[in-house]
Amino acid sequence: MSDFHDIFSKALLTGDATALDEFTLGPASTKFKVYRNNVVKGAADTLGDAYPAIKRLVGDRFFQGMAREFWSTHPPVERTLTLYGAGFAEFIEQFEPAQSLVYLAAVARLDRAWLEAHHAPDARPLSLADIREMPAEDLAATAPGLHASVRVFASDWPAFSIWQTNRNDADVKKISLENGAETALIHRPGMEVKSRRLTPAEALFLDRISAGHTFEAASNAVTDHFPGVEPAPVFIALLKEGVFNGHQEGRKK
Amino acid sequence: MMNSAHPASDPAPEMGAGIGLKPQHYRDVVESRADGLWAEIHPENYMTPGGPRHAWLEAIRRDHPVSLHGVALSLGGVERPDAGHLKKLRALADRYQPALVSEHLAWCAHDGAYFGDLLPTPYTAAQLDRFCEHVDETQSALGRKILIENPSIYLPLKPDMSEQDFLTEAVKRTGCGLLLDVNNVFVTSWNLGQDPYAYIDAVPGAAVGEIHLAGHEQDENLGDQLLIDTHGTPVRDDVWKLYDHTIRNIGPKPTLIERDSNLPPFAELMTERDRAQSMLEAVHE
Repeated sequence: MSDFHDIFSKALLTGDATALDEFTLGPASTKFKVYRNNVVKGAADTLGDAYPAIKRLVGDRFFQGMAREFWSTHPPVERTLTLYGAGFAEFIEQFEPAQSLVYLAAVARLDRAWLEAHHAPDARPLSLADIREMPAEDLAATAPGLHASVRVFASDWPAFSIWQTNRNDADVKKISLENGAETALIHRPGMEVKSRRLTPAEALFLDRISAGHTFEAASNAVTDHFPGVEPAPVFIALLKEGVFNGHQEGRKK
Repeated sequence: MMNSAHPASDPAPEMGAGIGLKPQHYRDVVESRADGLWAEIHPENYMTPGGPRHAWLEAIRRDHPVSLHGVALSLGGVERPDAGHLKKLRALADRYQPALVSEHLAWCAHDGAYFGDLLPTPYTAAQLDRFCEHVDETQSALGRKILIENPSIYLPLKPDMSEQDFLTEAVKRTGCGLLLDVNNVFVTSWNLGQDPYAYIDAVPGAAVGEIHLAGHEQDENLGDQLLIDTHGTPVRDDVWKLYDHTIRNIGPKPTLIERDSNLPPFAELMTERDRAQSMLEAVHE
């Protein structure tokens, strides 16, 4: 009987149900379509919920086609669709009919970052109150790492602005591609996912903390790369955003 | 097999009519004090590291009983239940202490692929043996009894036995209970040209621990030749009648209104829930 499950599974993947007839009362094809449609539409709808900016940018019909194509090459493996859709941005990069939208894959990465931040482990970020109690030398020597929800994205296009208006605005704003490169932060310090653009100095600071460096080393990197920029305000702004890991064990190095 | 190994998990007495929990209604459910209200979730949607879903579920759990209604164990498949998935299910059950835990007479995964749909199980002797082993393994992993739901059938398979006999035998062998989906009984019976009332009368009523009600629609290509369990409309009148017959026969059971698409405002969903609640109270008197 294991044959039945093999044959049914194959039919779901290929769409050809003729081999199922020996197991069914009457020909399988028409009614089998109900199951196949549920499977494919279920995955495509899940993908649409996970990538709302992409869906809005390309329209429902184009999205359905793209999502079905993605499903056939990336069927779900996990027993839950909650985080289904990893790799969609890379898929879009190679998806021939979407090649004219050069920023699309970058926007998909932002949609994905939002989803991952939304479901990331609950953790307390390092706060202003935490560091007030610390002697200056200790603070300088702290290498906290980033809060588990933090995602940083750099794109050659104004992908963050495009993403933001497509997620949030009733009427999509026109964004000129001439605006050029953007770097953005997406994270969830509490129960709500937050996002904003990063200055180059902030991006560098986060990059160093992410690599396990101390606050002092990250500040020095800012001074080295951006001679006119004061590192202290960069640090305070990021601290207030709640992007550093606030768990005791991660704080000292 | 394991008949006596699991404590009977009789539903909490306050469980009347509940609703399938949707994020759009989190706040409404937390704030509702409706008699008998409880909430059911698909545990798969909560197998995430953290986030607001868990915060809401914890808030809801403080004042309302919760039921875990799994869709991904693939008990009707040929492969054993996925060990990692069972572990995650156990962790959720330990965290939220659900009043009820249920799964389906269906399969959804095979040979490394997860299909995310409830696929039909052949009602054969060999598949029954396998199904009972899978239920046993699940009940052992969770340390509790589970309820098994009858599916909606669209593609009739050549059977050795009826669905009712398959389920009755599974109850006998594993000590599991049943989640009687009255809408699925209606849809399956319609699609197979059988009598839904005869189906209900053949179900071992004492084993039923929960009832589901939902809306169905005609297939867009086949019309009234094929009904689809869409969970996208209010419960149909024919199904309310069948429900009334059911609870008069087997007694009041915790009953859930399932709605997964075309989600109405909370108040509208609660009107349907209140109707089930009143019917339960009428039978109870």
